[in-house]
Amino acid sequence: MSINSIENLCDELFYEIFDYLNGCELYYAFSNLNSRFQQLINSSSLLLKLKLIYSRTQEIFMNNYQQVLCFNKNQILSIHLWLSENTNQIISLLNIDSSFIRLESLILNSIEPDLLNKLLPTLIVYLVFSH
Amino acid sequence: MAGHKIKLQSNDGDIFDVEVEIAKLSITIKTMLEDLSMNEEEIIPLPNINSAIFKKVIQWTTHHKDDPPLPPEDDENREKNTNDISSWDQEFLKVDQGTLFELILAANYLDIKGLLDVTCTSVANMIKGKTSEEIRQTFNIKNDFTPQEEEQIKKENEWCENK
Repeated sequence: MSINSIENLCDELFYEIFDYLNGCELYYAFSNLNSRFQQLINSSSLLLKLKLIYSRTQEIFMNNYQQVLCFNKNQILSIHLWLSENTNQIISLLNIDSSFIRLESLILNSIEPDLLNKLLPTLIVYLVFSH
Repeated sequence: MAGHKIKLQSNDGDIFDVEVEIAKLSITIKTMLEDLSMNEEEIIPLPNINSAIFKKVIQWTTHHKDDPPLPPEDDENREKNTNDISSWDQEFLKVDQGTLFELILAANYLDIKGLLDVTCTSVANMIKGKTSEEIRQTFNIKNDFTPQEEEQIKKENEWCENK
């Protein structure tokens, strides 16, 4: 057993490492690298924890957030959003539906009451299903 | 039985006398000794680990032998923190990439959760905040996409961004 490249690690060990990174960070770092990593980050075995603080470069943040919410709904385990400015843009992308089959936790910090009112009706359906 | 030693053999033939209590931090070795009733006089082969890496593993387990047991991982949502590396471990992990990856493999094979956690955390810290291109350079990852595949990925991304 002698390895000198990260690519020699098996998928299970990548999942161990990826567990320390949030979903957007993972996408930012590993999307479009090569076919193995593309397959790895889109695998249903990889559960993503999205932790989004709207303080980083907007473009990077939004692009990766969009990518994950667009293509990886079935891998998302948790979403934790700290909302500040541009909340509408973030919330408009957060269209929780039955595709989020692994979602166990949704935390929204500092959400405006109006936005929460808009979001709640869709969420309640899934809250009911979870009981 | 503090001080009682067993013999462990790396894949390049070196034999190490290791205190039983330290060796048993490896669940793999603990299982060999307890469940398979291996005689403590016997030399236990470790076919997946070379002596250089095994020396590092012994160094780590010796330092951490009195650590409290890690809590069981029963919550997938539990936040894993990449700042959880002690200064001793940070110093211990100042190694080249190949050694770091081999330590991960060794920790996984020997089933030493604390060592696996700290080595994976260290790699996660190398990844954090980097773009794909920086990751490619840091870890020397080759691009094997065909032009057609690249075009397809680009199209999918555009579709998503315009959605």
